[in-house]
Amino acid sequence: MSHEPEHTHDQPAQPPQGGAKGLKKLMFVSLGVLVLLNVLIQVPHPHFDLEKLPGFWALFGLIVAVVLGKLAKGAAHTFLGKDEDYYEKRG
Amino acid sequence: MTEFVHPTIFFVISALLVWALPGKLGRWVPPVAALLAVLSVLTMQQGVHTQLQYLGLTLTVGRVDQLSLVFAHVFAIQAVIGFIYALHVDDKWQHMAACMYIAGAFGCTFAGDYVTLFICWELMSVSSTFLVWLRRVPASTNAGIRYFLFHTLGGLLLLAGLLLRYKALGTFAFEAANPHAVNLYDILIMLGFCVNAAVIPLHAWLPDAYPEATVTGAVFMSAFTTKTAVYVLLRGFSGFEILGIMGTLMTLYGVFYATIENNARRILAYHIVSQVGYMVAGIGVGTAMTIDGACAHAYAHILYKGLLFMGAGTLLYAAGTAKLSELGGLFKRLPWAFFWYMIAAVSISGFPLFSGFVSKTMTITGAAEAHHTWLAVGMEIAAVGTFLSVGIKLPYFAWFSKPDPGMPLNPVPRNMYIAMAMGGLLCFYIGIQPEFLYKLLPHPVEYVPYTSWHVLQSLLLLGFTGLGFYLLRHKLKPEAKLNLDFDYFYRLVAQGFMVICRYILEKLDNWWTEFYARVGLKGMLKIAGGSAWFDKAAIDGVVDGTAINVRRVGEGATLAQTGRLQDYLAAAAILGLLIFGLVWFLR
Repeated sequence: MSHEPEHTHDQPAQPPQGGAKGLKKLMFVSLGVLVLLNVLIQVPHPHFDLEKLPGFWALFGLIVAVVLGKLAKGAAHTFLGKDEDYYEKRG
Repeated sequence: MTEFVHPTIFFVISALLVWALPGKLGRWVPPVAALLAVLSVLTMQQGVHTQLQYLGLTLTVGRVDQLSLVFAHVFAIQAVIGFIYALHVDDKWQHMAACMYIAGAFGCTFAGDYVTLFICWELMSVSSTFLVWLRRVPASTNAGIRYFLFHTLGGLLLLAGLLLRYKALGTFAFEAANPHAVNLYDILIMLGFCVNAAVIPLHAWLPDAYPEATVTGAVFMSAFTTKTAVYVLLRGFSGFEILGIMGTLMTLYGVFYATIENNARRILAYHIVSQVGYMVAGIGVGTAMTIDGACAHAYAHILYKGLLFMGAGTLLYAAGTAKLSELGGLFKRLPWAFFWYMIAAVSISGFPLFSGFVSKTMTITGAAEAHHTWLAVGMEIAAVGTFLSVGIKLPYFAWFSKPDPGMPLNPVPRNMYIAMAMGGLLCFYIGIQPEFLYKLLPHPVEYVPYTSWHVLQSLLLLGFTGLGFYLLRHKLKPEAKLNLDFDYFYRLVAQGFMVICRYILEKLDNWWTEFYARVGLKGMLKIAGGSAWFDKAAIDGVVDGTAINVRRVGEGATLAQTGRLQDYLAAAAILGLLIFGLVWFLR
């Protein structure tokens, strides 16, 4: 039920140097540990059923962050984003 | 000894002293006044204190209860921090505007009736406009005018509401409205409050004006305007369900825009909309727990939002820009600004050990326990967005992400760092000692923030938000763009008004002028012929003397008429205060 596999082998964008690489690994490991902990520590008073799933809030955070980023940027690129002097030009 | 000294007095006197004393000395007065305000808040007794007779009404200017005390407490502390942050500022007008602004905020906090509230409300609106204008660049002049116009609209809604309410109930007393019997005047008053609370779609003044304010002015404004509005909504409109929904929408709306904004201070401004959303939602749900949550969140928010604005203000002060597309790679040269900014960033994101954790989760849990599950989920989504944009995106693109652009940096005065350290330490202190905050709240607190589940849930949520940012880090790169918001529609209304003036009113005016010239003047000439005799014979002698005097006054007045709205407004405000002062002393 846990979701570690989807982030442990992530695609590297720029090859980071030694220290940064170690830090990155540490971050991924701690994310995995958090999800494992969720198997042990369960929600005491769930407000809805899905919440009982171990790793639910991890998946929630990841999905919301990605969807929000994509949606907002999409909106900015289609109809919200204008040149910085948009209002001055319109007068 | 004394039960109640109104903190407003300290700030009004301090504004006068700043004006009268030489600049370098005058700057030290406001922080001292703020310290005195802290002292007076800590020692004041609960109850109804000062009552004044004004315009034949009894005004209650000193109502002290648990609710007003929470807000007064944090207002006073943030005033101290803000004035220390502003200690290097040379411009005495900025200090005076800030003093009068905070004086207004305290006035609202202790107001027991709508008239007092309205007067202080308008004082805040006028003086905060000056905090925008005094940056003295064309962009801030324009933004300040838009800001002022919109707040005037809010003030008029409030005024209309309170007058109608007086007609219906015969009292100006500021008490809670009944959510089950809503009248038109309640709606008008609530709308007036909602303008200042930046409830969407009435919010666009905030991200429009705050990024254009002075570096230090924005720190003050982030603390007082919206939180005074939260306070009056708490007092007047708890349990109004619509606020629960609007508040949750605000939390989402703010983070959505913050995700795409480029200007650091505008990102933070959108996060005020988002964070105030939590408070408004708590007010709307209206249970003891969410009311406490709203108060606690307002308290924590004022401290960390002030600190965020101080951090971003330091970037602007040092680098001359707050645009993320022009910043980056500044960690080596501004490490302490980064450090204190991050304390505020983890606080607003609700990391365990920091202040947001003990207040935000209270509102969310409260909403969920009141069976508003959807509102709770909405607020969790916003929590993700908060960490994404304020906690990671802004600092990553300002301090890292690319090599140092090598721009020359203005040296940052030490007092700015001292103020940031004060704010940062308080955020941490509240995070580890939530009892300090909880015992100030209006209802007894049963909520325990540090359970293993709350901590784990927060870490899961925030940790995987970080992973989301890591995956999207190239896509989220800030762009030098303007993002349309509701002010687009405000501007359309303004343009429509201009069109009406230009084409319809001008026509009417021309027509009337013509009519007057043909019909009116002839008649008048006839009458004039008759009266000319009397005039020549008797009145000339008397009037001539007066006329000369009138002309003298006129010449004096021409000097004062500079044709700038700012000047008129300042003159009107000063005149108003003088009249108020006179009435006060002569009563």
